[in-house]
Amino acid sequence: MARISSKDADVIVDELDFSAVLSSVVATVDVPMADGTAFLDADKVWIPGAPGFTIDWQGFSSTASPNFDGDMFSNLTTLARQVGVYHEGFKTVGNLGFEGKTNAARQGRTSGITESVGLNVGWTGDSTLVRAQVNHYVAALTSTANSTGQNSGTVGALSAAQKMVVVLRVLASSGTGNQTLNVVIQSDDGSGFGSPTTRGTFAEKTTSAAEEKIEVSGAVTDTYWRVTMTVAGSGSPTFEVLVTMGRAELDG
Amino acid sequence: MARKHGKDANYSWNASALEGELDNIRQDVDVNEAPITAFLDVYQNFLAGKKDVRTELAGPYNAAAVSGVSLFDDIGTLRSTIFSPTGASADSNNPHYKCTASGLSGALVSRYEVNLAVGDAARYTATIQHSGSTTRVVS
Repeated sequence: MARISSKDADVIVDELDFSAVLSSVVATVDVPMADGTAFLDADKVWIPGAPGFTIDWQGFSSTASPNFDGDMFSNLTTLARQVGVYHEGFKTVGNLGFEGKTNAARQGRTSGITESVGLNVGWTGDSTLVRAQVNHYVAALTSTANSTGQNSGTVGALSAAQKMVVVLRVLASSGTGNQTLNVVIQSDDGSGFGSPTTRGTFAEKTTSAAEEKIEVSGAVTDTYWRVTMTVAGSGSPTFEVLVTMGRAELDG
Repeated sequence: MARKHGKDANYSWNASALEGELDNIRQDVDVNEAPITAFLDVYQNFLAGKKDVRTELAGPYNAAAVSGVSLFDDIGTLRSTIFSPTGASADSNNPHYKCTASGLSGALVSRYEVNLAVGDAARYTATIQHSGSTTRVVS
């Protein structure tokens, strides 16, 4: 049975990777329980409510590479930031983790005589916490490519009560200034993607780092999912790309 | 008086063995006491209320196994659980504690936490709230 170290965890919010300044992450799901006990029951009866989640970071204050302190402070009231937590890192396809839209709920900055300046951030979930896996990561995408189709783990067919949550992150972009990246979500019933169905199209990405989430509602009988990535531009267009996918319960 | 070690404890969630992803199991039974103390009583008096059982689970996190998949995906769903403190077959010296999913009864994940620290293994904890009866089985 696999037991893993947390030492290589990657933690990201939107398109910003803060793994270099974080030392602890705790993701918690709480389910409020309503007391449904009647006189005739021998034992207490409980009825579950809607779950909520929080993600708590502990780390070191940094003002450059990355600007952890600056980004957190300037986004104190920014809603629905996409947090990703990958306990074995997000640079390996198939690695598992969590994704969720969150609001920054609290920040703590600490200074101690014998300690480095600390920055702790608490996020409150504003959506479903999704079990996700890395579908594709490339440090330098320079030409059009497809990710490898996945049909296991958190990826597969969808019932009518499920959705596929696909998060695209462009972590870096370089070129002569006219570089473009177009990413499309596809599914198919075979690993060869002989007759793929387009399930979603991300907005074109250009010169800035970016993050975008698309949710594909079920039912979908196709079991294989991938993304196609089309690179264009003069010079040497290059993108650092991360795509994650996870199946979750549909709202409503 | 027999004293048992807990090192071989077993715990199953929805008929899947979880003991490979656990290193600590704690099952608490609370009985809300209704105070009925009167002025004439020397000591406080209480009446027992309904039994309430919770199980706290902790262990190494495995994102691809029961702790990472089933416990998370079963949030909000009643499931059956069996706790064997010694891991031995049920008998009078090795009771099992069962909560079986049926109607309003069963076990619910009321709290699920994954803890990642740079100097530690990935770990999880889960609080299992029992709804309805938990039975002590000795055979």
